[in-house]
Amino acid sequence: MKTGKMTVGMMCSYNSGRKKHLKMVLPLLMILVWLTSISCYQKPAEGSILVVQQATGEDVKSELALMDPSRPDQDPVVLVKEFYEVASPEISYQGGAVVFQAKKESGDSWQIWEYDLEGGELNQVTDADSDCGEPAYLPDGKILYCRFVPDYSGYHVLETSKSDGTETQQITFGPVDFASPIVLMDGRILAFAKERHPKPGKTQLMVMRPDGTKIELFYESDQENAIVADAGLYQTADDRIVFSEKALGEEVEVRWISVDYNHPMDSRVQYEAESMNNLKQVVYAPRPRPKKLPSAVNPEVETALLVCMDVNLSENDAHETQDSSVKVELLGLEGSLGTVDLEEDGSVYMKIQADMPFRMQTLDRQGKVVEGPSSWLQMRPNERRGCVGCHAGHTRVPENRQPLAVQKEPVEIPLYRETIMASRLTQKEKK
Amino acid sequence: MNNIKVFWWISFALGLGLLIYFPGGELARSHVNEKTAVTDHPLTCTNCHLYITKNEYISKLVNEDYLSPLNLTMSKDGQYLYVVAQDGDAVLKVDTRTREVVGKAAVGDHPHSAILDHEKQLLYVSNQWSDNISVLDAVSLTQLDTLRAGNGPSGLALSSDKKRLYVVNTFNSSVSVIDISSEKEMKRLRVGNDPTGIAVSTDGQILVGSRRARLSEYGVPLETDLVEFDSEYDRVTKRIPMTNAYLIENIAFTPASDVALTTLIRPKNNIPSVQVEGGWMMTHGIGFLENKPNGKIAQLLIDEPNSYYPDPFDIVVSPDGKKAFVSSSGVDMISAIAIDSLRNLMKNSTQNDLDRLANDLGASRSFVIGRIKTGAGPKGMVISPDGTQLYVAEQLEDKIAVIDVQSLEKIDEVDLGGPEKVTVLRQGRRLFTSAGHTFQNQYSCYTCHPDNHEDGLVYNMAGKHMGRNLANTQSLREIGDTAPFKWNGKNQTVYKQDGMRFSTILTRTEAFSYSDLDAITAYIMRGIDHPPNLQYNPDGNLTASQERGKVIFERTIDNNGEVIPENNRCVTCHPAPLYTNRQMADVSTLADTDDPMLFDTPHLTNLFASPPFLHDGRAKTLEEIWTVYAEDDRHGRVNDLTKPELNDLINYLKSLRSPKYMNDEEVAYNLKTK
Repeated sequence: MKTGKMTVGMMCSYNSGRKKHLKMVLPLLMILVWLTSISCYQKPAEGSILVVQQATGEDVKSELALMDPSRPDQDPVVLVKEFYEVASPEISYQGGAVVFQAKKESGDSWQIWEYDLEGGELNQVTDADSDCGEPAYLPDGKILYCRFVPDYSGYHVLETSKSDGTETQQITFGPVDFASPIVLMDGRILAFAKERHPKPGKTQLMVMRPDGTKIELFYESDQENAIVADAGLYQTADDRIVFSEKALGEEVEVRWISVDYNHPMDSRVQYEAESMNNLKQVVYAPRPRPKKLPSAVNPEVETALLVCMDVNLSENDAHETQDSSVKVELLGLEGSLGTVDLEEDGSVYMKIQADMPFRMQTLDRQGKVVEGPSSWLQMRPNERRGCVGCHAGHTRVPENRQPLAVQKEPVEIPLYRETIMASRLTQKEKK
Repeated sequence: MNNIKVFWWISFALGLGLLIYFPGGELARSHVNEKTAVTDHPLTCTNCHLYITKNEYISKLVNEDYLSPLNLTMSKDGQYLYVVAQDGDAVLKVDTRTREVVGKAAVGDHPHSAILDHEKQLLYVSNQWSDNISVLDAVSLTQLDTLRAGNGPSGLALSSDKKRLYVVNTFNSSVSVIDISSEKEMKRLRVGNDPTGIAVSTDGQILVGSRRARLSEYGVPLETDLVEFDSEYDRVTKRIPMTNAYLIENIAFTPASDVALTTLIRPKNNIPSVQVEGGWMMTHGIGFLENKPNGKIAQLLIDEPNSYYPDPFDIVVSPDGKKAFVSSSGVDMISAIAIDSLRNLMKNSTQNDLDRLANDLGASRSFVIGRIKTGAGPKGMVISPDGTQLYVAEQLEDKIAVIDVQSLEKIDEVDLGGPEKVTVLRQGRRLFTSAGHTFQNQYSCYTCHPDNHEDGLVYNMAGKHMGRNLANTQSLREIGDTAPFKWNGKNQTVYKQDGMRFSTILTRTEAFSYSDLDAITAYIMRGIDHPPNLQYNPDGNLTASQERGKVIFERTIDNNGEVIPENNRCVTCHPAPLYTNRQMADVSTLADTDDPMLFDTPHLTNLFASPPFLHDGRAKTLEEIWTVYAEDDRHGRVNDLTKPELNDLINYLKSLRSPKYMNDEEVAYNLKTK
């Protein structure tokens, strides 16, 4: 910076005696000043590692700093030092900014902040009443993070926001605790998810589009193991998803696990190395940007459409159905949202209130529960979605036939307007 | 040039530049916005106008003549590879030891396949757009003879005694049995719709695949025929309906001929197209047929839960019968398959299990043993006689990939000598055939538009509601001047058609970048030709029936002596040369399940090749348009016609062909009547 300024100063001095050429030289001079200012900015060395370090001194402070591994003699360059605590930094895809969670004082809630590595500006992204954390960049530049909700013993929803804090959008609904979200290279979000209500469920890996649509199971542990969310979630360059699991019923260490992105449910590999926290390398370097997925959400639409091809289709049957379920019932947080008759082919077509958590269960002719209830589901405004069957298996694709249900108008859920209003009031009160 | 002239030229250029940049800038912005339906498409005139121009000189300047290898065959000793260059209208001979092209011979128009008579050293090449077979000396590549074939010859096979040549006629869905010595077509056997692939077993059994499904009502499960006939009597012995599959491009027998394998696609056109996730739009796989009485038949997907391998084209089996290879041009990938694993799967599965596996993305884990990346557009393949190397035609690279069969790695490539430059049109074609612009690579443009045409299916595009707005896939051949697009005419340009909404509704992943959008638009508008209509109008001379039909097409007075209102005459809405006035019309075909709309008047060139007809494909034949769905005479005045007259009209409609093939007389006539 100093060198650049000197150069500019010398040029000014040289030209000061030649007023008649000043008009011509001035624009050139301005361009030079601009170029100099650009060239004088020292970008962090590519390959630097982003570190969170405790500051020394009277106050307990946490700093975000860049450490150049090739210069062991140098102290890390401190980027941000005004926080009581800093965590979960992530570099943007172009490498120009870093997003992290931080709290200013010990009693503050965690919020999301972004630091512009090129301009040196610090910007607060969230200003929520509760903790926000584990931020990640979406391919379109928006920021994804978890926000704490105190209901049902506490859980986290996923939200997205522009880096200036506008266009905040909650994308998961329902009593499900989401953690450690990452963006897969296909553009979708992958996160740990654990149900909180009506009883704590087991941790699974759920995947969804960045607008919260098409949420579905990506991976779940077998009967003998359980996912451990603490060590985070990573996608490797060769498309393996890495996380941790521990064996149930034994006192064994938590182990690293990886599954193949292409077929996660049947490609589990367990590693000998014990799993540890914070192995994530945050290297200052541009990285491949995942695909930007278009959004199907239309906030002006209050409903979403769901078709199920054959509720009775089981994992082992090809065409024959169990023929035991004749209805499907949708359950909300406060009870039944309605019961819908299945068509002859087992299909059902519903228009469901958007952003309302629900579970499904199938009923026989006597109204007894045959299967379910399912885990919590959600539909975003204007989302249109299909499922093959309630328990058809995760690798099953639909048979190429037009379901009878879509030849009629969809059944609206909740069935009664009053129920809709009650559901909305409940949601608002909880917020 | 003197100084004054230089001055004036510079002044003129500067003036023009300023005029374009300042007052013209706003107009240009408005023009580009209107064409692209976005406000930020780069304002560069050449992006569009240079590559979609019809000026032949400019077109020659910006484009290249590529070879586009499609299929291969190999000499018995494995030394020479014969490559069919589809766009080069040639066959190339490659020395596999030196990896060099050692010979090239011109053949007919748009060649498709080649086969060798090893003993006589004769090479047969099918010329799909010439309706004939070139016979060449395999050593010198000298053309020895030309054999007549049916319409659109593609796949070739020789009888075990090499006395008969079997030619698959794609355009009229038949197989010609040609006696080679007399050069006579001895028989023509009807097979499935739009066939290309043919294979002969060691015991003389012949299997022919087909690509289009049987015509049926929307919602009825698809059935696409595999037709079996014996080579002793050349009689069809069996028709095997492959349910819910189509685009059976190629077939291969194992060396013992106990199993036949095919490529296939399992589309989901009857399901509302509300998502891509979970194989909701397209799945791709293989057919497995036990070659014995009551043998099991299975369809197995080569896809995986989060990864798809679209547009399987060729399938070949290693000489030891242990491995099969499938080329997937949508993802530039070869899948290696363990045949013994397939056999075990068949052995341990009931037919019910196998039916379930046809829809199971997890099944491929049990038999796919490797995926091998190739260059753009892998198509035809051949394995060396010693079983060590697999050769793959990289259609959009003008190269042949060499793959080690043991290590399953690409070890080399043969450069066929095509242009090195990748033109905008070529890039557009690569994008068109690549599934990389669809979520999880599930399908490419080519999947629903095979051969850049259409797949004969009707899709439930599920606009606002599911089960509504059925759409018959439209051909993309020579549509550059037929805007607007879509049945409802809502897209004024291809730019809009393939822009942001396309990615939201159809591909459900990141939209094309603007440079890619420019390229694919250029390709769709100018890079796709109609084949000649050799079947119904080879030279512009209409048959007597077609002439009578033409009179009916252009008539102004009906059989009752009444004047036909102008807007109800065939020729008003379908004028030559494209046979569309590009206006919206109501022909009384709106269905209860359609949202209210008028229909974009479709062009009629090579109409015969696009069944089913009407926007929702309800008419399986041209006849049905008027005999079943035109009771109120609003789709032209037709109800006064006698049956022979309707036949004449339909014969004329079948004769309509691309302006590119019209002779001077036709062009002059069209100009006169325009």
